[in-house]
Amino acid sequence: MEIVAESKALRFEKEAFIYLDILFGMALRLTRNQSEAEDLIQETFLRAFRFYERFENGSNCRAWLTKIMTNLFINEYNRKKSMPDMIRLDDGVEYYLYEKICETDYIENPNYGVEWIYRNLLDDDIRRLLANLPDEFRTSIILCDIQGFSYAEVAEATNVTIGTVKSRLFRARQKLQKGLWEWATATGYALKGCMSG
Amino acid sequence: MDNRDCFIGEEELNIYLDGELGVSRKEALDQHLKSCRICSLRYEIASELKSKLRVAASADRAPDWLKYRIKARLEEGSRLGTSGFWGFLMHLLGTRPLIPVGAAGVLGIAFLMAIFISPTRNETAPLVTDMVQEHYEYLEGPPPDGIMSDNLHEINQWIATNAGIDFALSSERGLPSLRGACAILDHEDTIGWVGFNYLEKKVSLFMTKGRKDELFGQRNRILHDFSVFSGKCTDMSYALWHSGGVTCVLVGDLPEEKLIELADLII
Repeated sequence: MEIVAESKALRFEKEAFIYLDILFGMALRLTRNQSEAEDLIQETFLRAFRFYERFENGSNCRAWLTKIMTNLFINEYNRKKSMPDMIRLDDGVEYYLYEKICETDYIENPNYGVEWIYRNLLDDDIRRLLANLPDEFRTSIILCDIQGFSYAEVAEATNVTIGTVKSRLFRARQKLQKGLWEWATATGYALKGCMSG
Repeated sequence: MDNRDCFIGEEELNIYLDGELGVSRKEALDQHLKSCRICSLRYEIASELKSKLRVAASADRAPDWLKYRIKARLEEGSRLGTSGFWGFLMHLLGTRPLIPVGAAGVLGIAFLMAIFISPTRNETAPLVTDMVQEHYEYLEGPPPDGIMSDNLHEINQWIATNAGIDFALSSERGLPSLRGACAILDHEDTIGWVGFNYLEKKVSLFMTKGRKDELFGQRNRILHDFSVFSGKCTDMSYALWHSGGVTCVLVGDLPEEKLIELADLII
């Protein structure tokens, strides 16, 4: 009995622990809070270990762990909020960042504008932009853009349809571009870019 | 830059960026992007953003202490052979420590009783049956005499007497004196009961399963003496703690923090 249990722990450790860092990063991005991320990652691994017998050998362990974590986050962490995120479904301007850049002096050569903004964008800035997204959008971006999941895998992990995944990604990226432009304007990079462009 | 009304919509470009576009459409866009400066720049904006996101998140590392803690919990669970629900609870001892307690669970019993007796009792079934079924194998040894009866009539009487807040809470040597309570789940011929009792500063949790007519013909056994846990499982929140030989559990479909508030009240 003990040998079986030990073997299970070793197998689990070997198979699941290699994803700990990746999942921790994901937990940080989801919860936007170090201590909640630590709780979430622990609960994820403990729950995964508990149901490890149900995991099929050879299937995608990272996707399986991600689904557990995403469900935990959606089902439990969100319930702690007194108010759900309000998602304002305003009609975004298509190609927001491109359009904004073209409204500036960059219009003759918008490539400079794009290059200038991205060159000055730090990791912390992009993390802040991501953190400002509503949960549903942020989760989709994390799974698709950071974790590299397919639409089907994101849909599976978040219990929505592929159409919803597409829609969330679309809107999330619009909001990110909008946030990026606001950041560029606030920090002066848009202006500097105009002058140097 | 004269054609800003290109035919590729942003949503489609996103799908292309994610590699999810159908083959023929993808080929069309491949060709278009080679020749259209506007679309290629729009694509670059989206692609660079995606890339930046990935890079920004790639530096995250789980702290070493967190790795060790998770490993330790898993190893502990394996060593104890408690990888099921109960093991899950035990692991959570380290992940969510609660406040030390000096009293035991009057409201916990009320919760258990309310759950099992109320119309929502079926929602409780998975939790309790999981607990009972998964840990039946770990039951060992007979209970000390006098702690718990295995007589159905006596237990029912005991429940009726001690249900909910009708607990004895007289102070004895500075400690609350709890007499205990029990909850019964009758679910698909499986009966489980969770009970705790305070006697001479000792409280134990009992669980067992079996057909009703068989169950009470057997002696019930001690499952474990345990400490402090809280969390959520099968849609039910629980808060469970142990201090000074006293164990209390709250189980309910309230949010976890609500249960902890109640635990605070008890404490």
